[in-house]
Amino acid sequence: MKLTRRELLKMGFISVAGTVIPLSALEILKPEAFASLKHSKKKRWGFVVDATKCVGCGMCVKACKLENEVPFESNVSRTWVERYVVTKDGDVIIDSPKEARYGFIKNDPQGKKIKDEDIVKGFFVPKLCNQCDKPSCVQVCPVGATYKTEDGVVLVDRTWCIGCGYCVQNCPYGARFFHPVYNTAEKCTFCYHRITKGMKAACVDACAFGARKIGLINDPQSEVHKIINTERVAVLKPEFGNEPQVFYIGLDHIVR
Amino acid sequence: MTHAHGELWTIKELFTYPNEFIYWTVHIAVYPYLTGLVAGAFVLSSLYHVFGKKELKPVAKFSLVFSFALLIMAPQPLLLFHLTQPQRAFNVFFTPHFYSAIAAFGVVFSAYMAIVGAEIWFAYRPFIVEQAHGRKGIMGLLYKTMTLGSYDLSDKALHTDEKIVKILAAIGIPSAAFLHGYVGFIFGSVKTVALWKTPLMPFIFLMSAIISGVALCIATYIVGMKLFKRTICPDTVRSMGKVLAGFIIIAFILESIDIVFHSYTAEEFWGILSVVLFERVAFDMFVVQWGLGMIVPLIMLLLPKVGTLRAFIASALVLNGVFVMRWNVVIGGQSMSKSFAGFMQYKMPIIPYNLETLREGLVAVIFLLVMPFVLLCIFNKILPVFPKRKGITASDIMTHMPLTVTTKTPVEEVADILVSKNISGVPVVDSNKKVVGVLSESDVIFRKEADSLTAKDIMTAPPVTAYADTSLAELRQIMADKHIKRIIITDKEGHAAGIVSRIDVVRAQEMGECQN
Repeated sequence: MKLTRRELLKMGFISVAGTVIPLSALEILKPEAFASLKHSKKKRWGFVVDATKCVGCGMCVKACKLENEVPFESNVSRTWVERYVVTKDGDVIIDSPKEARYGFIKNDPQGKKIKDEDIVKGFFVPKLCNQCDKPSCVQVCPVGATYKTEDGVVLVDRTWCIGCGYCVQNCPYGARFFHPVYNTAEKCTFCYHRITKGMKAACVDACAFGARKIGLINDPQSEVHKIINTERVAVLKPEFGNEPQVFYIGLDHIVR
Repeated sequence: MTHAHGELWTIKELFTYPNEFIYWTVHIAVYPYLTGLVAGAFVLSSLYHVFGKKELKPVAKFSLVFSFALLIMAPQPLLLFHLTQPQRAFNVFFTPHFYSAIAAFGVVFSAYMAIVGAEIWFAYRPFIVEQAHGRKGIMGLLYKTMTLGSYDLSDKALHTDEKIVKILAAIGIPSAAFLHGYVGFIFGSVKTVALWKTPLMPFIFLMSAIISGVALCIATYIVGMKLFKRTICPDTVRSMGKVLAGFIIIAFILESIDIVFHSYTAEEFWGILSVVLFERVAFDMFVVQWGLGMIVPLIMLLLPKVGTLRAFIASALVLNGVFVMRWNVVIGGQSMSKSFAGFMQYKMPIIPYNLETLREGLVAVIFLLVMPFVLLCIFNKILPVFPKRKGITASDIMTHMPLTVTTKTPVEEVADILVSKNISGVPVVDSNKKVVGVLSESDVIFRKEADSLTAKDIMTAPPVTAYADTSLAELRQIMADKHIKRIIITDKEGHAAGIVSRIDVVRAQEMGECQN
């Protein structure tokens, strides 16, 4: 067969186009783009925790476990509350018994009896996934089973996760674990199934004290936007470079 | 109640985040241990194939095949036991996410396997062809399949084989280094675990890999030769011992620099890290890993007159030390909470009582550590790795493919060749490349003075020749009977295949079977 240069160019063009067009479909079908297709127009979900308002009742943890079907009695949770107690001697005692799903009902940090007069400082800190802007968990997933949606929430595809645990190791905040039933990586989703339908996250609704707030960070009307832009807020472990998107009011230097 | 993954073997102390458990268990220690052995065994075989360390010849094929057996088992801790969804392991090939340090695992691993597999095939090709011709039944069929249709055993083909083995072994060294350095990177790049996060990690892992692999080859070689009642070559053991000692020094320096550096810079995690190092794993680390695993074996190997027993004990100590090192890194690293305010202890499940404790417990570990030896035994049945006890023949000791001159080469040129190549004799071939004579120094010195003499005029003809399968005893007899210094080895057509000189015979007598 004889080929002219024109024919060769033509065939080359057709084969390149034929390869690129189906491949570009993969871009559209990327889970991160697909999941947020309907909801995102440069939106960014964020969270504010006002630690000064938390009383350690644990209702948020309870609501989360029930809403998201993480077995209630299992010792893992998408959200939890930590108690910090500083004594006269300068000891810092931290605990989160059963993730605080039953709340803090006794003055017994780590099972120790401490007299009230020996306590110089004590407070609660609710924790959840920070939905980082640069999530190290997403970076290290070998199969791309975990991804950040375009509106900023990190999700896990339970049907694709191989369960290597690399993401669990790479989360600086201990937000990830294995789901006791599905045996795949599991984490807080900001209740993505609720917030994308105009509802609030389960923990936010369950908090009677207004310690938890969720909203769109870049929406000037939202409460989280106002707080982040007008008050002094801090994030956990900024030194890891993950750029967490859960902002705290009343964070203490002893909080890890 | 549904328990959380990791809960069955984790004991928490003080404050740890609720979701923290020892998620990477003993298998994540076994995995780098096995890859390390692969890399070390391969480097050992390459020292012969690439750098021509002759005293390592008796273990070159053995360590190569052993490396392959270990390589097959290396990913199994992950694929069979670690992944909570093992049936999805191949997702890594379908949708590799290359930002992840472990996404390239399949590619790196397969590439390395191809290199080692190919090298074994070329190294064993003559043997495979021989067996394919000689054996019947299933084994015959197996060998016939293994030839891949290549039956050419001419000198030229064999020479090409040798060259390819050398090239593959040379490519294999950086690949082995990459394979294991990569494993080190997988740990070193986890920024949340203070003990792992160091740019030295790939090098630390690589050096400990090499020492464990060499130690395993020494120990297995000694045991294997004893088992098959063959002669253990002292030079081979001593040479492996030297390689081991050299790498121990480098490994030790790297590991200690890492700790010194952490201690000196004393970043915020140093407080809890120092508790882990100096209290919780202190015995394992400073006594078992460094003392018994590096310093004692190093002294044993550096003292003069290293014997079989001492080499064996030193190797066993190194193997134990490196395993404990892997354990200390993997388990020790996770034992400090990310909250820097608590610890986790790992209790490996010994007696399984459900699927999880079977997969992640002692039973699985024993399976993983025994299988490489089982595979080695199976491979040994097909491709023998321990040198056979057999008489030494000319082909074992001759210089292969010697230089030749033709009958028409001028004498001056012959003299030049002898001087420049530093040899004392050279075969003379005719236009059909058949050997027709031999020229030695004395022929050149005591020649008649005449103009334009060629090799033909002064050579000793006919030459004394023998075949490659002539035994050492016969060669000695010929030299004694004919008062000659060298015998030309030819193939059946009379083409030169090699040359055996007196020094070759002396060396063969000295080293016995270890020459093989």
